[in-house]
Amino acid sequence: MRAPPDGDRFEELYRTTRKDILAYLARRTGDREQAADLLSETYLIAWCRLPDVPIGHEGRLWLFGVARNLLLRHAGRQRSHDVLVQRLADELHHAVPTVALEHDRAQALSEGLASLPKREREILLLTAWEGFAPREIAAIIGSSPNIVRVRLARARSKLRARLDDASLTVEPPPQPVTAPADP
Amino acid sequence: MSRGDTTDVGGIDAIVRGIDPLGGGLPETHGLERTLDEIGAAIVSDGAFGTRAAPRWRRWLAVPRRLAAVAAAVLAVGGVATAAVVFVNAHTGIYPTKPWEREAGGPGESLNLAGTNFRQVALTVASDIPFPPGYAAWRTWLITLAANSSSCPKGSPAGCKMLISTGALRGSFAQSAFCAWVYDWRQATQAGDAAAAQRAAQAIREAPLWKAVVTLDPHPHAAPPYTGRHGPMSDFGWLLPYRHAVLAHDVSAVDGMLAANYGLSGCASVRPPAASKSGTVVPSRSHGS
Repeated sequence: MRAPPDGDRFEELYRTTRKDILAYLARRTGDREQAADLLSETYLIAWCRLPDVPIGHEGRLWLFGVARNLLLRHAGRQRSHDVLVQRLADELHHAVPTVALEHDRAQALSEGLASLPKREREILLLTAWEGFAPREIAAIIGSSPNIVRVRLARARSKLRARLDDASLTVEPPPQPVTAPADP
Repeated sequence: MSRGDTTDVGGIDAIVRGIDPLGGGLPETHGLERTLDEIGAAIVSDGAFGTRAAPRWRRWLAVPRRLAAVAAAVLAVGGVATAAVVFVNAHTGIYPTKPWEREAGGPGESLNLAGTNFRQVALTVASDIPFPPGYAAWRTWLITLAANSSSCPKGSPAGCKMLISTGALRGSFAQSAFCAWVYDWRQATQAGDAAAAQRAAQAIREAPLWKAVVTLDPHPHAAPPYTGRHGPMSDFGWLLPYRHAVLAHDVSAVDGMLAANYGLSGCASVRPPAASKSGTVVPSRSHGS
């Protein structure tokens, strides 16, 4: 029989990753309630399968992989009506302001992203928004680092071309953020 | 721009970061942190969390009797407080929708332990699980034990309800019924009541095929030693050594297992205590009854 889950280990894992996982889910769903619901489900799975969760940084990647799988399957799923989930969704509504973007720029970027192949878009967003390196993304999506690097380069190239075609001058912020190097 | 390069020469990442829906990340707010804390604590707590946060149903079967009333295979769900409600239905219409949910909370509908009609519903749910004659008090005691678990743990959200799946409930009845048959066989054997012993042995022989058992553990298995609760066994694997000993008419082996309280939680956890209102632990038997 399995040993009972290690509460201390779970709490450490939860405490150090919950905001990142919630941010990831909120960005991808665009729906605070859905994000809160999937957050609870992600960590519930982690709790139930704690012995399977890798130690250290790999555990963080494992969680993102679980959250990603839930996102892929979330369409049409039944929502939780748990009061804590509802409260978290409310807190998200209060805490996260709606980002106002300059219209043309936002539209061009959104269209450019939407035009990318799904996997390339996912890799680009995991890089830009979550700050993952190719090796980490490979662990999350179940691919190889080399393939991730190739797709990331393609995504950047295609998006740049798309923006150029739109004749839209889009300058990066004064202090460009580069993709994190592989550890 | 160097196409194919792995570095973000064109600054595309930074541009994409500019349309981050969260504007760079989640802020530090007291309300957000507190709610996240509560969710984490709820997941870890025995009372569990949400409709998909049931503790493993086995807890209901595995916990010692003294703990069963507070750590049953129940789950807490948030809801609207129902003060001054005259009738609360034990049926909730909540079913697990995913395999792992079923694994966590047990199969079947989640019943509200605080339901006005919980006792009747529980009796109906377990009506196909046979107890030996004279052991009705065991069934009643088990239902009382479950109903007494209807209070939510401290710190639960307002409107919390304690639920138990019909699968978990039936599993606990099956465990109790099997043990009742073992005690019945032991008593009949001691009393020289061959007919009753044979009837008990037949029930014990068929127990691994009870629907309540097969649903939860279709392939039971257990490895020696058959004492205590530490030998490797599946959820109902512990039935097999008892069954083997009974069919071999090995009284001493049965006595040894009963004395060691062998099993997932042992038979001692699923029978009424001697001092309970339900009556004696094991009904007395007259010769030839």
